[in-house]
Amino acid sequence: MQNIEIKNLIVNFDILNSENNVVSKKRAIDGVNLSINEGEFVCILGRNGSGKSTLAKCLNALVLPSEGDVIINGMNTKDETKTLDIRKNIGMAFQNPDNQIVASIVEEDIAFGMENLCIDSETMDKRIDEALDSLGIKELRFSVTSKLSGGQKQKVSIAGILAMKSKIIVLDEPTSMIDKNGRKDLLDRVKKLNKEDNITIILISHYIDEISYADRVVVLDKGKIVMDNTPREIVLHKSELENAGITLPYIPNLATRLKEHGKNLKGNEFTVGELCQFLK
Amino acid sequence: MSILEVKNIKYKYNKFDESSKYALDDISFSIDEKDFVAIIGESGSGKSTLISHLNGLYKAYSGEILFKGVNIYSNDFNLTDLRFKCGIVFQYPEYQLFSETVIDDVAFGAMKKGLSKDEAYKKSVEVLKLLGIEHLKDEAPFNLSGGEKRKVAFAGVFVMDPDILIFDEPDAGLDPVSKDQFYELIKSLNNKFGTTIIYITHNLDDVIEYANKVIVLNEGKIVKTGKPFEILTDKEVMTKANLEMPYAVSIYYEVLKKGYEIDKTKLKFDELLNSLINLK
Amino acid sequence: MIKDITFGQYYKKDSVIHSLDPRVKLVATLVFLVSLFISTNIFAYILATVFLVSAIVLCKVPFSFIISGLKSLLILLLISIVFNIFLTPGEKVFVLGPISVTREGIIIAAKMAIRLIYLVIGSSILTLTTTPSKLTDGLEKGLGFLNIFKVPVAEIALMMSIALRFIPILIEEVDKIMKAQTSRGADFDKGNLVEKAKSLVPLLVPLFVSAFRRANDLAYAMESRCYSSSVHRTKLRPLTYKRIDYITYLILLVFIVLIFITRYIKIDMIVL
Repeated sequence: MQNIEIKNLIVNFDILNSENNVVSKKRAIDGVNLSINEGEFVCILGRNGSGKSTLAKCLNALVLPSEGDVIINGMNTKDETKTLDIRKNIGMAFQNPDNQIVASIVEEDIAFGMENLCIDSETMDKRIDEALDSLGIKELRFSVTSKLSGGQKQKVSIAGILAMKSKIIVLDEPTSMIDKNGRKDLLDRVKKLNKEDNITIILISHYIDEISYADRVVVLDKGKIVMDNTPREIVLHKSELENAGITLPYIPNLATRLKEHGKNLKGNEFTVGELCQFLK
Repeated sequence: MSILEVKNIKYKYNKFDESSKYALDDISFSIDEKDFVAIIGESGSGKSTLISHLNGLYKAYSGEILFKGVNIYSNDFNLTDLRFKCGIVFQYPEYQLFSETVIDDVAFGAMKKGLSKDEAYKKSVEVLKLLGIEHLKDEAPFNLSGGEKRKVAFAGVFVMDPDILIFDEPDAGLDPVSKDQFYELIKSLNNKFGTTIIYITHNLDDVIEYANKVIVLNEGKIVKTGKPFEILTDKEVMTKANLEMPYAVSIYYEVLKKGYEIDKTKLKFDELLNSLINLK
Repeated sequence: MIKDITFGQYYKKDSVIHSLDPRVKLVATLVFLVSLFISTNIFAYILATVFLVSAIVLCKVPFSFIISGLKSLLILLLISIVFNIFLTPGEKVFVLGPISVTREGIIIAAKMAIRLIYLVIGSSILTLTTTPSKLTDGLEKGLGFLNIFKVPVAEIALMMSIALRFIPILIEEVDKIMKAQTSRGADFDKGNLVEKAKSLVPLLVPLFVSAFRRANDLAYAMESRCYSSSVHRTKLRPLTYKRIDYITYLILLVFIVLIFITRYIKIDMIVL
C-alpha cells in the first residue's frame, strides 16, 4: 500500500514589497516526484534553504502545491474537506521544541491532538499511557513542560502524534536544538518506533550523521531531488554530495580517504568497528 | 602570560534557597593569551553560567576573576570596559539584532565603546569585509538566513576589538559546511590578531581539530583541564563528565586494541589519517 | 536578573488545594478578595488571616516560595504606605518639621499594606496550585453561559492558557536578550527617562521578533495536530464537582457571612 505520493510538485512563494504587493516569486520546490511506502524510514537531507522544510509542510497541507499533487493515503492535500483526515494520518514534529508545546503539563499537551479529534477522556487516558511508554518517558506524565530538556520536549511532541494513532511521522529537523546525547537518544527511540510499530518516519535533517538511522536518503538541493538512495550508497558519492552543500560524516569521510590510499575499505563504513576492519 | 585567571569562584542562581546546589562550585583555571579554549560538559553542567561570569554579567558569590592581573570585582574596576575587551557571542543571533540595517546593528557596540559615528561605521565596514558579508550591509537583519544572522551578530561583537572572544555553542544549528567555515574563520582571527578564543561546544571532534586547551565541567565543578588529546582520551574523565568519546578517540582505542601502535598526540583528522595509513 | 520572578508559576505538589476544582478556587479567590475590601475591623482581619493561613498550610507550597512573589511588589507597597502615613489628616502622633504622622495615617497604611500583601498571596495561591490549563478550563466552564451572547469562550480560554504557558519562556528570553545586549555595552538603567526608553529598543525589538516567530511556529504545530476553531473539542479531564468541592463552597459561604457579620460588631475599645 502506498502511503505518500508526490507528483510534479512545485511550490512558489510570493515575495512581497513593503506595500504587500507581489514583486516576484521564489521557487522553493521545483518539480519533485517522490513516493514513500508504509514502514519506510526516509531521511530528507539538504543544506539550509534547500526546500526541505517546505516539502515537509506540503505533506500535511500546511503548504499547498502551486502545481502538482501531494497524495497521502489516497487523499489529495488540495481537497479541503480531507485536510483534517490527512493531519490525522500524518503527524509532524518541528525544529523548536518550545514552539510546538501547547499545554503546561505533559499529559495535557499529549491530549491536545486527541481533544481536537473529540476522543473521550478514558480512551485519551489509556493512549497517553501507551504513547509515553513507547517513548520511555512514563515518569514525565505530570511534569511541567517548560522545565523539560529539549530532547524530552521533542519526545513529548512525538508522543502527542502517537496518541493520535498517526502512522506517518514527519520530523522537521527535530535535533537541531538539542545536545548530542539527547540527539542520539531521540533518534534511537524513533528508530524503534519505525521497526517495532511499523511507523513510517520522514526525518528532515541537515546533519548527515543522522542518515545512518534511515533506510533511504533523499538529497534535496535548490528545490530538486538530486539523490535518492540507501545511506551506504549515498556516502560513496562524495562530490555529488558536496555539490548539494553536504560534507561526508566523520567515519565515511575517513574511510573514503583511507580507501584512496589503497586500504581495503569500501568507503561506506559508518561505525568505528567497521572502519577498523582493514586492520585485521 | 595569563590574560584571564579564575580563582575559586562559586555561584548559585537562587541565593535564598539554602538547599539548592551551586551552579558553579569552586571553579579555578587560567587562560593564556592566544589560547583556543573549548569548554565541554553535558547540558546543565554550568558552561553557560561560567562564561557569563567572564565579562561580569554574573557576579560570583566568592572567589575572584583576574583580567590581565586585575581583579574585576574590585571597586574601581570598570565592568563596561571589560565587556568590550571580553566579547561574548551568544547562541541565538536573533537575541542581538534590533536595528533596521546590518551596518547600524554592527556599529552599535563600537559607538557604545565611544567611537564617533563616522569611525564606528568605518570600523563596521572593515569588520563586515573581514567576515565576507560586506554586501549585506544595507539589508534588514531579519531578512537574512540563519548563518548570515550569526555572522552579523559576531560582527557586532568583533567590532568592539575584544582581546578575548567568547562563543556559546557557535556551531549549534549550523550545517556542516557553514560550521567548518566558521571555525576556519575564528582560527584565522586567532592566528592573525592573536585573539584569545573561548567557546562552548558539544562537538568533540572539532575540539581536537581546533582547540589547544579543554575545560571539562560536570555539575558545576571542573573535572579536568588540559590539552585536548589528554582530556578526550582520559576514559575516567569522560565517564565522570558523562560525555561520549569523539570518533577520533574511539578509533585510537580500537587501533590500540588490535595491537598496533599509534601516536596519542596526533588525533586531528589529517594526522589520524596519516597515522592510519602508515600503521605497522 | 528577572529570572527570579516566581509569581504565578504553578508549583507541583499533592495537596487538598491542588485537587480542588478550579471553579471552586476561582470563586474562593474572588470571595477572599471581596472579603478584604469589605473588612472594616480587626475581627474581619483575623478571620481573613485564619482563612489565608489555612490555605497556605493546606497547599503545602513552601512559605518562602509563596512570599518570594512579594519582592516585585515591594516598591508599590512602600509608596502606598508612605503616602498614607504622611498625607492622612488627623490626630498627630509624631511631628518632624513640616511632616506629621497621624494616628489615622498609621491605621490606613497598615490596612493598606495588609490588604495588598494578602491580595498578592491569595491570588498567588490560586496560580501556584492550579495549572494554567486547569485555570482556563475553570473559566471556560464557569463562564460557559456567555456562549449565548456569542462570546467565543472556548477560544478565549485556549488563548489565555497558551499565553500563560509562554510567560516563563518569554521571561527567560528577556533575560537572554539582556545578557546579549549588555555584553555589547548596552546599559538598561543609566540616563534619564528618554534615554532609558531608548535603551529598551535593543531589548524590545528582538523580543517582538521572537514572539512573532514563536506564534507562527505554534500556529503550524496546532494546525498539524488537527486544531480548528470551528470544531468541537473534548477534554482530557472534564471538570466535575466532587464532595470536597461542595464542602469548600460551604466553607466559603460561612466565611463570607462571618465577614459580613463583623461589620456590625461595634468595638470602640480595640480599634487596633
